[in-house]
Amino acid sequence: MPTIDNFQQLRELELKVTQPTSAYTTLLSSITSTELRKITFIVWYAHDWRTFAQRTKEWAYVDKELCKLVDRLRERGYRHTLTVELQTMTVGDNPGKYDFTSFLPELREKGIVAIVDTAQGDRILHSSVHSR
Amino acid sequence: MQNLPRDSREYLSALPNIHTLKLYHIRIEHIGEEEFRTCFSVFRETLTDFSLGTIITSFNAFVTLVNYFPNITSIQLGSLVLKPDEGPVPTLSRPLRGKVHIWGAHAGCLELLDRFVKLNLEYEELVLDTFSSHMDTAFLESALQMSTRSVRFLRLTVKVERE
Repeated sequence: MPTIDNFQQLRELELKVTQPTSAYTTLLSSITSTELRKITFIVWYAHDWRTFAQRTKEWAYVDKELCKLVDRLRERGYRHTLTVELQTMTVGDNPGKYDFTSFLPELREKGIVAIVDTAQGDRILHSSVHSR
Repeated sequence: MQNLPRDSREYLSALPNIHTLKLYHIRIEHIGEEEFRTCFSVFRETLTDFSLGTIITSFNAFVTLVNYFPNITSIQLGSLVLKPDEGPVPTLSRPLRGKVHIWGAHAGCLELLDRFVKLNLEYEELVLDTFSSHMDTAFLESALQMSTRSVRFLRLTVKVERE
C-alpha cells in the first residue's frame, strides 16, 4: 500500500476498494494535508444493499484510522470538517429499507459520514450531522 | 492502425477544432513535429482532452507529441510500450497541468512512467488505476514519484487481497 505524505495540498481522496481492511491504514496514516475535505470509498464488493448494510463491522479498522487522522491533522491546525463518503452501486433492491446509520460510528463524532447510491445519480441515502 | 502519419493523416486532418482525441493501438515512432503538424494542426489549439492507450512509442516522440498541443488539460495514459529514443528528448514548453489518469502497468509502461514523472508536471488531479494489474506496487511507487505539490485530488484504485 502506498504512502501519500508528500501530497501537501490534497483536498480530496478517492479510493476504489474491494473490501475495507487494515491494509488501508498505511495509506490513511500517511496523509499530512491539512487541506483535506473529503475521502470517498468506492465500494466494489457489495452485491446487494442488504449485504452492504450488514457488513458495517468490516469498516472498524478504517473508522479508527479516520479518527486518528482527524486528531492528528487537528494537532497541525486542521480546521475543516472531514466528510467520508461510502459510494456503492447495486441493483434490484430498495436501499430505503436498510439502516445505514451504523457505518463509521467513531468518525461521526468528528466528521460527516455519507452513504451514496451511485446507481441512482449519486443519491444520498444517509448523511450524518456534524455536531461541532 | 500501425503508422500514425501514413494511416491517419487524412482522417485526422478532417477533424478541425476537436476537443477530445483518443489514440489506441498505434505506433508513434520516427516522427517529429513536422509529422505531428501534418496530422494534428487542424485541432492543435482546441484539443484539451488527450488519451493514449496501448501505444508503442519512444519517449522523445511521446514528449514531442504532448508538447505539440498547448492547451491539454486532461490526459489519459494507458499501457504505453516504450521503445528506445530516436533523438534528444525535447524540453516541455510549459508545465503539464490539469488532470492525468494513468492506467495499466507492465514493464514497458513502467519505464515510460519512470521518465514521465520526472517531467515538469503541475497536475491538480491525479488518477492511478492499477486494479487489474499484477504490478501494483511498482506502478504506484513509480507514479507517486511525480511532483505532488499541486495535487488537490487523488484517486487510487488499489487491489487489496482479502486478509
